[in-house]
Order: sequence, then C-alpha cells, then structure tokens
Amino acid sequence: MQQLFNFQRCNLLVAKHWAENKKRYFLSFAAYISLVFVWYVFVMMTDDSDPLAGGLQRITFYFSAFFVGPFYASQFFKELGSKSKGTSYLMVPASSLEKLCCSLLYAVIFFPLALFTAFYIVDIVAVFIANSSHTSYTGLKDQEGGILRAKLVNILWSDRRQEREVLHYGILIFFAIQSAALLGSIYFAQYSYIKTAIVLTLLFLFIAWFTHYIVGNILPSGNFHNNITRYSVNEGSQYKLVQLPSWVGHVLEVGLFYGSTLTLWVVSYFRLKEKEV
Amino acid sequence: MIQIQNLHFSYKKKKVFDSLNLQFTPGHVYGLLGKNGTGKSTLLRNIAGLLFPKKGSISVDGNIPGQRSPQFLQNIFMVPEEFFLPNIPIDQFLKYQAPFYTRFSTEQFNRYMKAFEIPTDSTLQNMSYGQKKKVLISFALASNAKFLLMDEPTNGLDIMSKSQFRKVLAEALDDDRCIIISTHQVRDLENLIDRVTIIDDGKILFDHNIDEIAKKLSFRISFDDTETKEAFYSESSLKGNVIVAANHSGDESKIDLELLYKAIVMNGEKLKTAFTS
Repeated sequence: MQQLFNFQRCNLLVAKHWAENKKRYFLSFAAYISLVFVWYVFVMMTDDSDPLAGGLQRITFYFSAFFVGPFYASQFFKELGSKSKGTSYLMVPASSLEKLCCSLLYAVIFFPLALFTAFYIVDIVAVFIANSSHTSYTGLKDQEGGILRAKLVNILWSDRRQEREVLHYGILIFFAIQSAALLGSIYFAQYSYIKTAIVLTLLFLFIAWFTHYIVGNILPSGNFHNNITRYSVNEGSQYKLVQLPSWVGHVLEVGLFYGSTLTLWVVSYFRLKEKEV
Repeated sequence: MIQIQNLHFSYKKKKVFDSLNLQFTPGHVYGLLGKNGTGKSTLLRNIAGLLFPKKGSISVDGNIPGQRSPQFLQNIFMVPEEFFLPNIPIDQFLKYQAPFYTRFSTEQFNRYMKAFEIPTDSTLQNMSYGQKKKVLISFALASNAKFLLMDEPTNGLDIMSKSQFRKVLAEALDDDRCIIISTHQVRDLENLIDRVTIIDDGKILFDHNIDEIAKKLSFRISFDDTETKEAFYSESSLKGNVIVAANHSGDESKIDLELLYKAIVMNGEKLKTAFTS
C-alpha cells in the first residue's frame, strides 16, 4: 500500500510542482485578470445599455472555464512529450497514482479555485467602475423606476430552477472535460490541446449521430420529452408518453456525468503507468 | 544486482536487442561502450523503467523496473544525456527534490558541488549546460541511490570538469553501489571503471573486468613488424606502432580503453581467443 499511495510523497509532489511552476502560474493569473478586464472595458465602451448584465458575467466565466481550463489541463503532462523532461518526471520516486492525484488536484480543484478568485477580483472592480462611471448605471432608470445597477453575479447559483440545473450539469461537464484534457496530455506527445479537442468533438458528433439515427430508427415514431427517460410516441393524431422508471434516469445521469469523469481518471492512471519515454 | 535475461527490445520495426543476457553487480563501475545506435542508452532506459522490454525480463534488486514503484525509483538514479532541471534556485531544487530520496545527504551534495566549483546559492536558470550537468551529477551521487546510470556523463564538460568528475565519482564509490556509465568518450573513464562491456548490434561483444583485461592483453608500442602483424590491433604513431596484443609476459600494462575498443570492434573474434585460452 505504501508503494501505491503515500500522503507524504503526494504532498511533496504538490509542493514540488508549485515550486517549479509558481512563476508561470502567477503570470497566467495576472494575464487572465488583465484580459478579462480589457474585455469588460471593451464591453462597457461598446454597449450603452446594461453592459455588465448577469448573463455576460456568466458567459465570461464559463467561456474561461471551458476553454482556458482544458488548455491548462492539457499542459500538465506536456513534459512527457519531451525525452529529457519526461525522464525527469517519471524518475521522481513517487507512484503513478500519486502523480495522477497531484495532477487532478491542480487541474480539477486548484484551477477552478484560481479561476474563481481571478474572475471575482476583476468582476468586483469592473462592477464598481461600471456603477461609478457608465452612463447606463449612473443615469438611466430601471423598470421599477430606480437606477439600474450593475450587480455581481453568483456564477454557481441561480434563483431559477432551470438555470440551476444547467449550472449543475455545466460543472459536472467541466470536470469531465478537464479530466479528458489531462488524459489527452498523457496520450498525445504534441498538440495535445488541439488533438483532445478534435477527439472530444468527434465523440460528441458520434453520440449525436448514434442517438439521432440509430436510436431513432429503433424506436417508434416520436421524440424524447424533456429527458431521455421520457419518450412520446406519435400514433397518428394521438401521443402516448412512455416513461422509464426514475431510477433509470438517475443511473444514466450518474453514469454519464460522474462515471465518465471517474473512467477518464482510471484510464489516465493506466496510461501514465504504461508511459514510455 | 541488476539481472537482464533474454531481453528483446525494438522501436517499432527497428530491432535493438535480441535475447540479451547481462548482469551488473554492486561494488563495480561498469563502462558501457559501443558505436552510435547500438543500444547503450536504450539498455539504460530499460533498466531505469523508462522503456519496457518486449520480451524477457529485467530485475533490479528484485524490482521490475517497468512498474516504477517508489521503492525502486529511490534506489536508482539516471543521469541522461539530455536532461532537464527546473529553473529554480539550487536550494529550492534541493528542498523539493531531495526529500524523495530517503538516503539523500546534503553534506555530500555540498561537498560534490564544492569539488565541481559550483556555488550552491546560484539559480539553475543562469547556469550553463555543463554547470547544470555537474549539479545533476552531484545530486545523483548525494541521493545515495544504489544504482547509478549515467549516459554520456562527460558530454558538455570541459577538461577540468572531466577530471573533477573522475575525482568525485571515485570518491562516491562503495561496495553497495553499482554505477553504469555509457559513453563514447572512453578516455574519460580510464582509471575509473572496473569492468568493460561493449555492445554492438544489440549483442554483448565483450564483457570483462579490468584486472582480467590487464592480465590477458598488453598495450604497448612496438617496433617489431612480426609482433605488429600478430597483434589484435595496431596503429602507427610518431613513437612507433601502438599495439594491442596477447599478454605473454605476465607484466601488466596500462589499459588504453580507446585501443581496446578499436581492437574489439575491428578484430573482436580473434581478441576473444586471448580470454578463452
């Protein structure tokens, strides 16, 4: 067991990674803040009505999470594509599980936390600037007759149930994509970000094709209703709703959103174990 | 002890080893010599667990290198020809790298660094290739790993540094340690190695210890044409003909590794008779 996982060694790996990359991380953190700030300033300069609406703030955050996140994750095992760096990494006396845990800690936990922090640093400043100087927030009246104010948005919560569901699945999909990008960085020696993006797109297209044509041809004429456990069968002018037991939906949800992430971690572990440089 | 049995290895279609059997025991410094592309580095990478045998087995003190267990990795250190060191100060490098090696000695590291004339307060980023290599060699020796694999360790070192390298390595030798040095620059290893292993075309062409070589072969200058003709190898020089011949007198001469290497490559079969008789 000591050879498979040891907390002390894992902590050492985390500290070692931080010591070797902290300069790059601080620079990236600052660069992200600057870019989002420039983006907000651009939006404020070009949009005269409510430029920092909740939707824009959410889109800014989730765009960052879904594009910058996988890019970061796909760089994690980049060194395995280089003989010298790969040798140095694989020869560190730690198990493959410890090395994978370290990568997951950075890509799946620390990255979202850092992104969250960086986003709110710039968001708070941007909202303050907008409310102090932008004409739509300083002069115009809102629907109730009050002055429209730019508000900080809670990117992890919404008052609307449907939005909450989207956020919930969005976060789960984010973890799955981060895990896929990590696996891609072990699998592909070069251009892992692009190659992983291509593979994920092809996979998505295949699932869409499979669901639409294959499943569509097997099932009677009709369509899915709200989710894949409810199917409305079209019988002439009448519709019949066929609903699978709710547990089937739960199993599919767990399998799809949690299971895929876990599967990607397991595959990453074995790929890392079998990696040759 | 490192035991290699029936090792088969190939890169896609290029066969490197075909049933290689070899043994490395502690207390020795092995010189692994051979032409470019004969598999010296590949052999070291197989022993280090960076490449996996296609067939056959390698055992390093009972561990299978391919499993890369922390215990195995603590016991082996590889100084590759192309190496990587992070761009951090040396003290930071020590702080985060040394704890992985339970027998690491900072006192030894400082001693070797002093012998190499490298200040310990420098940053790896500002160092030349040769200086970085000396840091890596110092770290490798101070790790007190039982098996030390060095691939072209003197490449990139200046004349003074090569002599420092020999001095430092000689100081680090002990009965529990097994050092394998792969090199083209055979003169750099003179007075250092105690066993010569020559690989050619994936096979062991020659594998004898220095005492045996000194007893069986004579390295000298000859003016006698008959002696020169009968020698395993000869080349003319300003002083006369330098020859490698069978040692009939019993007097031991100073081994010239470069001449020995040439003799084995040019006239290996004939030279072997000196060791079988």
